[in-house]
Amino acid sequence: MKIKKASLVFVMIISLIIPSSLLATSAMAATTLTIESWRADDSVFWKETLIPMYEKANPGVKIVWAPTPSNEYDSALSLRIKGKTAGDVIMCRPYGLTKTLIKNKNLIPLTGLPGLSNFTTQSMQSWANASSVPYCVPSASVGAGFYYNKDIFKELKLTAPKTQAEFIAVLEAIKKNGKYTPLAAAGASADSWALDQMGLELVGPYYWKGDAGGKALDDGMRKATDSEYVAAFSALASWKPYLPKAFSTINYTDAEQLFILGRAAILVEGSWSVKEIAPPGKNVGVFGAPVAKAGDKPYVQVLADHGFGVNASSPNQAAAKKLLTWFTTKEFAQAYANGLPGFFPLSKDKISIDNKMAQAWLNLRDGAVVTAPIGMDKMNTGTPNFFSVINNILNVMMTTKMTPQQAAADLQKSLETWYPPQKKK
Amino acid sequence: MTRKRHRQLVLFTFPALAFFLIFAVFPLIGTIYISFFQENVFVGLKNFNFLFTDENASKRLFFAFLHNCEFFLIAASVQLPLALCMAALLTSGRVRRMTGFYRTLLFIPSTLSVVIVGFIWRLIISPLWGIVEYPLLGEKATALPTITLMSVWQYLGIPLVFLYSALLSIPSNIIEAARVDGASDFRIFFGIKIPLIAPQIGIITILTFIWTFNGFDIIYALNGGMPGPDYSTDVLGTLFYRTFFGWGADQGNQNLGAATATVIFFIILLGTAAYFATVQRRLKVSQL
Amino acid sequence: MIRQDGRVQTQSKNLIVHLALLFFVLLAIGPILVIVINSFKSTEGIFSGPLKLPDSKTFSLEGFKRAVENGNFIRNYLNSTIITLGATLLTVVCSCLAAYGITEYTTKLASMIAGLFTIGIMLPVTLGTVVILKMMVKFHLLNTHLSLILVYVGICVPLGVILMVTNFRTVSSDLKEAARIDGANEFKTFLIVLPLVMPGVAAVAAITMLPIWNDLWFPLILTTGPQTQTLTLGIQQFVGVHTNDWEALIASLVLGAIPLILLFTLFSKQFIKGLSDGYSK
Repeated sequence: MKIKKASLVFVMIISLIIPSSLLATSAMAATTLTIESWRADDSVFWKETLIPMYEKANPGVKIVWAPTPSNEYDSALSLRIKGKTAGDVIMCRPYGLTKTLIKNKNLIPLTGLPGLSNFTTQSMQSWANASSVPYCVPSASVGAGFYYNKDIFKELKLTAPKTQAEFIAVLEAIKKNGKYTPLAAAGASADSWALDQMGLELVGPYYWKGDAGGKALDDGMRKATDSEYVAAFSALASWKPYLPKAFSTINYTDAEQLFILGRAAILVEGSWSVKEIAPPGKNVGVFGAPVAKAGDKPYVQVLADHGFGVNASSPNQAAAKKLLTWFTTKEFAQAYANGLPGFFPLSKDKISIDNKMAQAWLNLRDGAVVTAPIGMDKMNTGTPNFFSVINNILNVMMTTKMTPQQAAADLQKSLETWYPPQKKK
Repeated sequence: MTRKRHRQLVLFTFPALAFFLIFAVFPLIGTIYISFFQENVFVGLKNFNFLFTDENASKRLFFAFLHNCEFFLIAASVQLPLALCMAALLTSGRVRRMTGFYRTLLFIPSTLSVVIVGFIWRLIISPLWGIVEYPLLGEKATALPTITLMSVWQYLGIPLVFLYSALLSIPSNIIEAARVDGASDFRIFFGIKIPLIAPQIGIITILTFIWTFNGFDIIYALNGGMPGPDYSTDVLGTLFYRTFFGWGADQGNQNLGAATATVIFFIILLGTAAYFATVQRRLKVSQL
Repeated sequence: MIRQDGRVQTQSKNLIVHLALLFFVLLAIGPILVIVINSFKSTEGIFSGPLKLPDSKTFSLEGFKRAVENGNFIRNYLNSTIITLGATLLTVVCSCLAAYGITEYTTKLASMIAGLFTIGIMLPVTLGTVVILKMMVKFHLLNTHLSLILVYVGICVPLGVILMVTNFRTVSSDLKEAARIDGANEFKTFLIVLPLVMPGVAAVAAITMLPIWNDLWFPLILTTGPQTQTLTLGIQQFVGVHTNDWEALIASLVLGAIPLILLFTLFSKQFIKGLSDGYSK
């Protein structure tokens, strides 16, 4: 009898839920624009600041922020585009998937979009086709570097290092003191991207001379085993004695926590985490990649992080283009820079940055050679690709006894099997 | 009369059959079919040729297979004896009113999702926050056995419940008769009970085999789509996911994914067939 | 004397069995308690000692508050409920009908169908995902609850049918004959017999619900959109996204686990009875 009652309740619940869920999806505002994104972390800012701003000025338009986690974004988005269920506005990766979408005509060309003159051709490069037709409005760039705990530095009488020798001396001093982990970083294989983006790509450009070194590798003019790349691998490997214990299990969040809790003196990170790592009141500073010789010009990696394009099969293209036009304005750039400190607008407008820590990140670019990461453009399509190969090699190098020379040799060996310009002649 | 019976039979079984054939059987057959294509063009065995001979792809496939064998062997050899032991204790008649209490609590890990299981164990064995000094998940040699044991911890309840039910259903007069003859608890368990539930033990082993060879959840939850360190926890399931769906900058290829699935399917088929051909000749419905 | 010795011996043996089981229970429950304990702590409390009990300083319910307020938690909960209940209900109904048919009309065809479902239990359906995905794209079912429900029913129905077959076999034919003599048609007879196999229904429902609620694979592929995302996937992505909000993370892990723990604890007896009823035949 009891069970009978239970099953009755069960049926009732179902009959209540199913129709209500069907109704919920069909009742929508006049024009709804859905934005596809991998930035789940920014949801609150979009929902509470940007979207209300736009919706207030444009009655009748409703904007839905629809994030997918970064690692699944490319696959899930390609699928939704194929299934014609993707959103109207698409957050674009630099190169990679965006180039594929452009090739397959899944994005519409933005030629003539008012406001695009606000951007340099160079800043639109990562989202344009071969003849420089833009497909996305550039929105933000990020960079990588080191946060340091000023209190610990003061306690140990240290200053932010500029050269590699100073850097090692600082790390050595913290290690000798024994109270703190000198350098927090992520070594768990699940987060191996971190050792590339905030490791090799951070310290390497100085050695391979920035974009020139990237192009030489792309074109097959130089090999990964050549001295400039091996030097870059060595610079990264020089961190090994100073990393947290059990480094191979340290996740990205573990590394952050070590620094936030004051157990690590230095954290290698990206500008995008200003809010979490250096909230107001925390005594934290930043410094960039060290150079080998005092007086050398430093290199700073500027990663074009994301832009926005319009889905070619969207029924609301006009409304989507209007939204994109707003993305080109100073009003948007200013709101973005302050709401997401550490993401730097790419437009020509003069933007003031309230957040002091974000400004400190931006200051790293002063007097430095600005460069893009290597391997992103030509080597990152297909399987395997530069990203998956380098992530794994760096993870192995940093968590085992593998030498920088072996790591460079492994990379070269792999490139020769799948990247035509590097194939053995 | 037979015709009417057939009509009734078809009417009653139609909904279940329709779901089963459309959403389980057809996709599997379809997968084999499209594994001979690339972008809608028939390419014969080219996809398979790539999987087995390409320098990078064949290496991944081989190691994923090896890791799966390791996963299965560890899982089966730890899970089954433990589950049997617990089921034996529960049905020993020595815990009486507490039986339900123990049984319910022992089953709880099986109701959890891999996400929480992975999270709990990663926290507990983390050298940074937990109680283990050694980087179990970070070393190539220990990562896969560690994850396997997490999975065993989680799913132990399933074979436990099945073996428990099977043991319960052994007619009590057989046991009583043995006891009157002076047989000890151990004798009764190994001499009478185990042989009687041998078919269920066999079925559980073969289901464990099938589940581990197309499983991917716990590994994905812990290590993502390129499970490291250095692919040491990559199994056929994660390889399949990555091949067809993509991961990170990998965009995936549906036909190549279908070919990978076909290979896995035949591995499972061969393993299962070998088992039924040698160990358990006949499978009766009542044994499930 | 001899008798008392025997009793002491039995009692000490009982004690050993109890101790062994308690040990296993501790092993099974201990790790879960760790996470439950941490859900009541502040982030600092979690990291300063993950294995400590919360004290007045570290006690915090903020995590639960934020887990429910932020993100898609409620939406995801609802999605999981709709999908799980929908698929379970359909599976139970289809399984009961089919099992009744198979046990009632024992022809060669019936045993062939039973054999088909027996093989079906062992089919690794996830390997057909590429085609399932193509089907869902074609019928515009991507990112709908229905897509998951359909797939889950297809996967779960074989085990459901086989379990129900063993249960229906225990029903004596007298009742059915009596019903037929009273003029009930076949479907009516089925409905009359149904209450007798309720433990079986409970077992099928439970064993269907479990993998569906916890599944990661199909939601990852078929319903990645925020409108249809399931709880398990949502939490996985919460873990995956670089978050420092561990309070909310752990709280949502705990909240996500409660429904099934509750269900299996409450219906544990029926679940076991349904499974073992089949065997006793």
